[in-house]
Amino acid sequence: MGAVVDPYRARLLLELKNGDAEKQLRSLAHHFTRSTDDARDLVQTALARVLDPLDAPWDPVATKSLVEHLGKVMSNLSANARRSGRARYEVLPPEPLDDDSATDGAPLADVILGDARDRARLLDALLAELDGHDPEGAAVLRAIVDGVEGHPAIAARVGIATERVRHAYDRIKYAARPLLARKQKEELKRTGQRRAPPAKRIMKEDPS
Amino acid sequence: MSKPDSTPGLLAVRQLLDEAQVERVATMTGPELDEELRSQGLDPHDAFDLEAMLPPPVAKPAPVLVRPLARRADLWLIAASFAALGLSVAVAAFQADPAQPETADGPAPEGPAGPAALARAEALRDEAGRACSQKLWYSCAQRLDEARALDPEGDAQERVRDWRKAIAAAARTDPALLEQFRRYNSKTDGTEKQRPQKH
Repeated sequence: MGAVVDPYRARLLLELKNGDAEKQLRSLAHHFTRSTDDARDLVQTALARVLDPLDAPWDPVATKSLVEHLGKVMSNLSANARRSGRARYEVLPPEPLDDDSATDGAPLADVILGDARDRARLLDALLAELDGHDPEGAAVLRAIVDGVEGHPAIAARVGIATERVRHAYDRIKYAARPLLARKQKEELKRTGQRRAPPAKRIMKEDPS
Repeated sequence: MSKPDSTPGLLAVRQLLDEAQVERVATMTGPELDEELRSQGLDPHDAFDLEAMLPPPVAKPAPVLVRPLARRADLWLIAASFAALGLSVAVAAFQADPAQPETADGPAPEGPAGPAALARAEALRDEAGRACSQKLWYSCAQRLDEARALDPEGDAQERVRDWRKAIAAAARTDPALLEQFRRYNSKTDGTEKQRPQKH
């Protein structure tokens, strides 16, 4: 009996080897985790979930791109991790651990705070943008900010039909994309400045 | 600066922005993507080996009710009693039949297994495969042995060899299972010893 080739697995491999899939996934995983090791783990977990037909299989008809599907799986995994009791309630011991496990690539507290501030600025810019041309989208976003959960509840709060909430979500995401791109460019500029090689100091020869 | 008023609001906004980021990055290509990676402090050429990250392929057949059936020992016992009764009647009829010649070396050797026996053996092997995939090693081994009794040649199949290897590997790491197999083997050997020999 020869080895059985799983056509779904073969299709996934083909898509993963195609074009820029690896770079896109790496960028997204790093965006979610801010750590290379955690990004690797996140990609691996997402791949395992997508490969399992009973978990989160990729439907090429419903989602055009495999990367987009994997990205959404990674987004959900990170959201679940953020919502988990471990992330919210775990209290770490105040004394430093004296084993090697204390060292990891997780982001530092000031990085997390910086991210939160960036998101708040982004949210302001997004609300201003939506107020200008999409008041319904702005109202939906304000309801989300206020913690209203679920499309029916948001629809009731804004006073629109439930199915319009989904369209508003899509418009909000579309409006966020150029703002995210702008933020990324600023980040690149900052990174470039940080990594600029130091100017060479020209030493004059000592005449003596 | 806007501040979401609640933890759910904070998390929902973050997820919304994350989804927007997914949609944005999924449409990026070439130099644009390299720039994105550099802005994150990553080297565009330091790639992940995605093929190696995929979990190894595992045969996952449709779930079957092997475990509940195996638990119903009373049914198996009744079925086994009927089978034993039928076998003893057949043996008695065979011994009473004067038309059957009896060789000096004992009963006539068994001929090749019939199609029904082969089909039954294959069915047993399929069941064994499902049991093995659910890590029911003992049931798997029993079915493989039953199938071998019906169709010894079929035991050389690659899948059967793989399952036997998996069973052996499991028994090496699980002392309770090993003990179970020891008891099973000694029982099987004992049965064979007690079987009446014709001379």
